[in-house]
Amino acid sequence: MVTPRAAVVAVAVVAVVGAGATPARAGELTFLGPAREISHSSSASRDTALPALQLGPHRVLTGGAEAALAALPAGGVTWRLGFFGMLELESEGETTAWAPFPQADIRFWRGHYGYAVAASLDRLAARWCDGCAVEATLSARHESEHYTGANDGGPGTDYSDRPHVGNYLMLDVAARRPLGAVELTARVQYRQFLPGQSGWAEAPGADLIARWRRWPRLHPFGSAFGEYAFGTRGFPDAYRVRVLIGVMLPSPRGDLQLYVSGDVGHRQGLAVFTEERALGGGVRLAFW
Amino acid sequence: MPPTCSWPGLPAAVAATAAVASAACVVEMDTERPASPIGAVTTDCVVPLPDRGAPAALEYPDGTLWIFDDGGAAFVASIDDACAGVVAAWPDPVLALTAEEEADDQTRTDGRAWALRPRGGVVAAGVGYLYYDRVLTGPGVFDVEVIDTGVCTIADRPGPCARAPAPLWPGGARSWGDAGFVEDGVAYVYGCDHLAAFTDLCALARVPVADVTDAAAYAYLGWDDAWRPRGDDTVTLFEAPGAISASRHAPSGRVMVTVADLWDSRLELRTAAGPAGGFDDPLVLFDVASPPDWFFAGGREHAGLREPGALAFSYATTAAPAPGLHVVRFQVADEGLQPW
Repeated sequence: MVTPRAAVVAVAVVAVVGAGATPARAGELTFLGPAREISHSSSASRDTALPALQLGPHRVLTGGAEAALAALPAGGVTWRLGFFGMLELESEGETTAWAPFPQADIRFWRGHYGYAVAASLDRLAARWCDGCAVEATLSARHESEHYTGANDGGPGTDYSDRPHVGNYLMLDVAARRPLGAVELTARVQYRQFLPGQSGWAEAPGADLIARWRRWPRLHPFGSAFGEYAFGTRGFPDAYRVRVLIGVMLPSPRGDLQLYVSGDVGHRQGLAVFTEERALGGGVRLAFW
Repeated sequence: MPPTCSWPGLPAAVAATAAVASAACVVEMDTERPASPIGAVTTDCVVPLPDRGAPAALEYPDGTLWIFDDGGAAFVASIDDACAGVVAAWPDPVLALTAEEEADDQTRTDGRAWALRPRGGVVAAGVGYLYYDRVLTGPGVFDVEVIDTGVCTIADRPGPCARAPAPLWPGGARSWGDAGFVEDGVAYVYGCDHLAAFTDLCALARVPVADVTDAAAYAYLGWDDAWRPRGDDTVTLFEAPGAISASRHAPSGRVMVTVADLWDSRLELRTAAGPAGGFDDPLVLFDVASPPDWFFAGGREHAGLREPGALAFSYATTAAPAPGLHVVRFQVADEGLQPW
């Protein structure tokens, strides 16, 4: 039986192994590489597929990867067929101890995966500026929410009234532009949930990310993400605003992100009915 | 909720920094509840009649007979009539103690007295069959002891409910009669028993309508979907901490059971293809205003008061600003009762 924790580790291993792949080059079909020209790895969204540890106030363990299965530059556009997968474990309460490892209950977990086709408009972006990028991505994803029951087979908790994310299509359009040493990235996204297959109807959202390449080994960054999900079939609407402020430690294999976080809005997964504001922090490993 | 952020176990200097940076680590702002996924309340009125609590009911094709704990009854023909206080006269009491029980009350010196508590029942060919508990009450409010469960028959409207001479089930064991309906000459009768705190288990019995008063004619649904002759060999279909109602919902063709969830102060709906289940997960119907220190009462759906596209409910509450017996019209969405 595959436990949630083992699955997190497995996905993380896939991400690390895949990090050594060679990026796609013009006119050549390549396999296994970045899923996007404009990486999603610095988004403040919790739906970011990478290995991460949110230390508090709710401990969140994430394992995931977003990778292109194949990439083909053609006619000024690079097409990428990508896979997205992540598992996330979240505590219901707060972190209770720090040594030797941060400890908290593991109550909720989410599984989230899907496929995507990304089109990077390379020629258009090159005309815009050196280092610019423009990209549109269409994803089809599934997310399910679960909780961890008692190991001794004790009675469970009735979460049957909680909305499930279920199946949805997502279109996002992103742009990246360097302004001196500061690299700005903006992304707007729209999730359309499939009727009868989700507790939500639609959810628009947006990212805004600034990365300051001030020093070769240390890049301060700020990232904000907001989303509003419209409930259906009686489920209330939900919103989330999340801000990360921290530093990225670049390396040939990616970025190590250290951040403090601020969250306002509804929790994710089966805790979605709880609206709160929280301050915390954590670390993320962004390979692409 | 006050801010909480202890950051336990961190070195003092780090903890101090963290405490400043996160003076309010988690502040819970709100906790929400889902509305119904299948419809909405369009009418919720207080019946302008003297308060008699929440009634049990018999559902006739042309209306609902409300039967109260005091033995009185009222026949209601529509939701609008109920909201206007228009009810058909019904001789009191519809359910009465026998002469022997009344005589016993006269001679008792232990502070106890006989009472009859209507539970629910079925209607077939214009004849109503009402199940009731025969109880000894007192001396304290909570000193209620169920002696047995019986059934009575209303052969003519309006008229009294004639009690069958022998009880169906003894007290202290599983019993049936909280809700039911008739199909093809067979009465399907649900019964919920309070097994322990927070645990009320509901099971199903069936009996030919002609033999409703014969305890030996009942069969009970077992774990293997077989009908068994013994009531202690039955399977639990669902849990219900409060009143239930059961019927066949003609537009969807599904059996619907409504459950009064006293703990969450709301009514819920479960549906199944047939009376024996399996029932879907409960769906929220609507929230009920409970008094702050107690529960609402009743919470039954009345098939006799249904309208096209709408269900009818009653419940009683002492909560402000509208204490009394409420009648609710619940408009069902087009796809409402279909399995999701």
